[in-house]
Amino acid sequence: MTVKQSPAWQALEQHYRAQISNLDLRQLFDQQADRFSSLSFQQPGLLLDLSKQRLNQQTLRLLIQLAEQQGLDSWTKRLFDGEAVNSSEGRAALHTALRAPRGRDNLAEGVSVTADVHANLDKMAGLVEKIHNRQWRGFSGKPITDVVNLGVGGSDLGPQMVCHALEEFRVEAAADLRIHFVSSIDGSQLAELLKHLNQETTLFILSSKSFTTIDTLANADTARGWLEEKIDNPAILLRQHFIGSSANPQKMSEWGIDPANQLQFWDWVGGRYSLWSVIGLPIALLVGMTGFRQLLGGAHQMDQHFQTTPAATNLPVLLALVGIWNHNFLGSRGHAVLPYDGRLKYFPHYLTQLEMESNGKSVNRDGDRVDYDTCPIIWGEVGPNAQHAFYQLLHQGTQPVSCDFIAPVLRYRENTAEGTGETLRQQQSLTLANCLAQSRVLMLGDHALSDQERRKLTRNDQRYPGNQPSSTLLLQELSPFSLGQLLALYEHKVFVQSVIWEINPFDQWGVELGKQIANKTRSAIDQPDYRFDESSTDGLLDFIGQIQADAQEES
Amino acid sequence: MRVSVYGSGLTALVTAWALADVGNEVLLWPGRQETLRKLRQLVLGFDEPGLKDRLKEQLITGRLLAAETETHAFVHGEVHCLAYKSTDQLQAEALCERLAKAASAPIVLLNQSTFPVGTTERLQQQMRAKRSDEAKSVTCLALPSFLQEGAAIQGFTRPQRILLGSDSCGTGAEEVGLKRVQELLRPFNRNHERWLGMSTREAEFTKYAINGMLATKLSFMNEMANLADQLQVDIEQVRKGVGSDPRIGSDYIYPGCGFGGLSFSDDVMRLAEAVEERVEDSYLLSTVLQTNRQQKEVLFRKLWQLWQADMQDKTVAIWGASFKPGTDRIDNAPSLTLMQALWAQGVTVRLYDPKALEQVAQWAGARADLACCDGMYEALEGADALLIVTEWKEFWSPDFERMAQLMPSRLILDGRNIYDPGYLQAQGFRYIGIGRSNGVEI
Repeated sequence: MTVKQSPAWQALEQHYRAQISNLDLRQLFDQQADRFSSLSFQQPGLLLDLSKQRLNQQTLRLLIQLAEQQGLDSWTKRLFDGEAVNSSEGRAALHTALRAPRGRDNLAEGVSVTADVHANLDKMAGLVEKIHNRQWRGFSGKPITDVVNLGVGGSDLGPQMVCHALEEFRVEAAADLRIHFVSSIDGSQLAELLKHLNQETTLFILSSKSFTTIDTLANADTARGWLEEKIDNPAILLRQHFIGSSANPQKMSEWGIDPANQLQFWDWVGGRYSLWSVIGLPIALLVGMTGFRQLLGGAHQMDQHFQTTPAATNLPVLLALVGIWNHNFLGSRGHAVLPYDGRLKYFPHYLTQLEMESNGKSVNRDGDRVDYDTCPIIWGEVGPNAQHAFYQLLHQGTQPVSCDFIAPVLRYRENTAEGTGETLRQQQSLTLANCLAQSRVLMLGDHALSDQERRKLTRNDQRYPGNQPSSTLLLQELSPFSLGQLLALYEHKVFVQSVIWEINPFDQWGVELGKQIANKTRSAIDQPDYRFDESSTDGLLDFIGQIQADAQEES
Repeated sequence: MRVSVYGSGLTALVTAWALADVGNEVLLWPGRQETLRKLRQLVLGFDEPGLKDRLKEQLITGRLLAAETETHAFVHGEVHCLAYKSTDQLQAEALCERLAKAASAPIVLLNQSTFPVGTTERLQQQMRAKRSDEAKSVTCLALPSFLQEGAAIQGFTRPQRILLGSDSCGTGAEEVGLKRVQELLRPFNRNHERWLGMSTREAEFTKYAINGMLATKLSFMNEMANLADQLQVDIEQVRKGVGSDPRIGSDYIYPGCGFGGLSFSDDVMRLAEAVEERVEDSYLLSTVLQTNRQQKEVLFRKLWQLWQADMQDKTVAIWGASFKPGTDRIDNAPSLTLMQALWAQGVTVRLYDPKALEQVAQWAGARADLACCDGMYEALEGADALLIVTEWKEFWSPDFERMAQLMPSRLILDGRNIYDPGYLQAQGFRYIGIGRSNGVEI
């Protein structure tokens, strides 16, 4: 019996048909006067409002029964206890241990990891201090002014998203330090960047869990070649210009990373959960170790909340169950993440990896095909900008889409440029107004207008059907701590959904085959006679080969 | 004349002494009771040649007295000399307000402190606002201090110029104030006419501009020296050539490992940041300071390259810590930047300075990688290299034979270009100066 045939799932389907399908959100509000107070939930500095979701108290009760039926409590315990919840790779997924305070012991598959975690954080703190003190020297003895993070996927998206979000928390010691992110395998970011950097004062961080990622190693080779233009002594080049962050010390050493510059994390940290580890070095360089530890502290607060709070008031659980409801019962195929804060610009990109790489799967933990939908398509953009882009589809398109609206309440209270404080605070009010207005229009459609105003809408393209569900997440303020809370909230949301869907969220077999075939295709590009067994790739290769040959002739 | 002097730094003490020395009755208020106690025991907090003895002399004559309280000073002075540190502006402003309330006679205030341009003018407005009675006039004048540490006494008594700023618009009280100050300074203006009169803002800005110009000259020559290193040219020959041009002159063009000093560096920094609120930054001066910051590490960089970026467990002797010879002051001194860079690479420093060791020990705290040595040769024991940072006289002609014995590496990096490269080479030393084309390339 799959979960779809299970009693709790069936009860939800029946509940949908009997009580929800014929009601729209406007009617749900009419039915229950205290809808907001009974469907909004708080944690220190956070409010999650689910009252704009197409559900009622009964729905939540049934969803929680589904979670219970799926053994959520025991899975959560196994997650935190460091059991091998990553079944296909036989590993724990213990990112929560990365943010646990020193005094708290954590076991991964029975072995304590606390000492290792803190030893590497301390080693990272030492490197950060040296760079902040301007005592990390390039080959000529000048202090480092530019740090370039070479990494892709989890080694890029997480740190970059956080650095962008926390720029205003930059510490004084990093005032003159520039931090860059380079990920793309085509070298386009690096090619432009290196034109503006100086070998004397540039330090590269090679971030790769496996240390075999071709994207990152290709960029690293280019960086190394650039340094070799100025540095004859390879030992100095490596020692003064490369730091490595990886779960594979042996590969780091083989590549040439000096042992003193090796920062380590472990197999039990998934790449997309690794910003809390030494992969967070760029974050620590920006906000200092104090800020970095506040980020960890926020995540730890959410860990404890998730671990100890009953489902009925547990934010990650509720956020996850509402998602299940929308995708599996209301039929929405897409989920938009809409931060009303430019600092969270990269948050949707980060979530696309976190959610879709974790739960974009069609095989359950036992290796059987599932007969229900799993992760929807996640996308997003800074809300006010997206209003001028894809909101048209949200308001008047043909398919149901669910949305998360995210906004900080307080902003621009200090440290604004001269003469901008007042106007910026007004802009913040305007932003909040837009956030609330959009979720209201998605919910009510043109019923957001007075009846009199509504009657003036005579054409169909002026009408808004509404009834699009959304959650709203308000942060008191964006800070390292609250950002830590927010990220951990979504991490656990993803975990809870995986438990409902009975899938392993910690592997990603779906990204392997492409890498493998790329290697073969690489040789095909270099050898003109190589043939595949289908005409499309062959045809494209011929076209590429022809253009390359022509270009060679010209030069 | 009865004069009250406020402050405890170099300018305050030299002013108090010099005015008492020519017969005035001077009352000195150092700003705090604690500083007052120390002053009475002649503990100055810095070492200026000859100053302590001279102060003692005047205290004995009774023409110079330390005030019991600031109120004594308020009622005593016919002229009030304000010589606070540039960092103590708020305290100085508060003091002036109290003075304005307390003094019954017309006030003549002579501002010698280095505060942002426009401060003297503002002080006058603030003090006048505190005076209830119009007859109780307030006149503020600016006398920017050009005293140099190590030569301050001479600097006050035989000044090259007396730059006196006043905003007199011819009213009686203002004219009286200006005349009174001119009379006070007459003994120091005997041989040549040194007066330069201008507005208080102009006087204040002139001081900034002079220091900015000097710093620019120094940093420019340091940049030339770094180029000379790469071009196989000896900067010392170039310096003589450049200095022979009367439009440039031979002062402040000595290349070296950076400049420091409390007032000089601070003044340039202030000028670079903003001479007054709402004035735009000066790009040229920011660059001058940036160049100087890098220059303070020039000896470190040469050593770093010489030792192939690996300095762990090396020992380095440093001669000279004060920001210039003749003083124990280490404010913004290149030696500090240099030591921090060396320590960060695991180097042990053996330091000798004729006067500043105590200050350095206080600044550094107890640490295993710093040995403060009592003698210049002692510092060389076990050292892998000698770095010369301050050009104290006793370093100019040392016993090279003894140095070679104590330091078998025979490696000297000279941040002040005090030796002859050819001679040292003949003595078997590896000698690297600033811009002398005989060291590693930077």
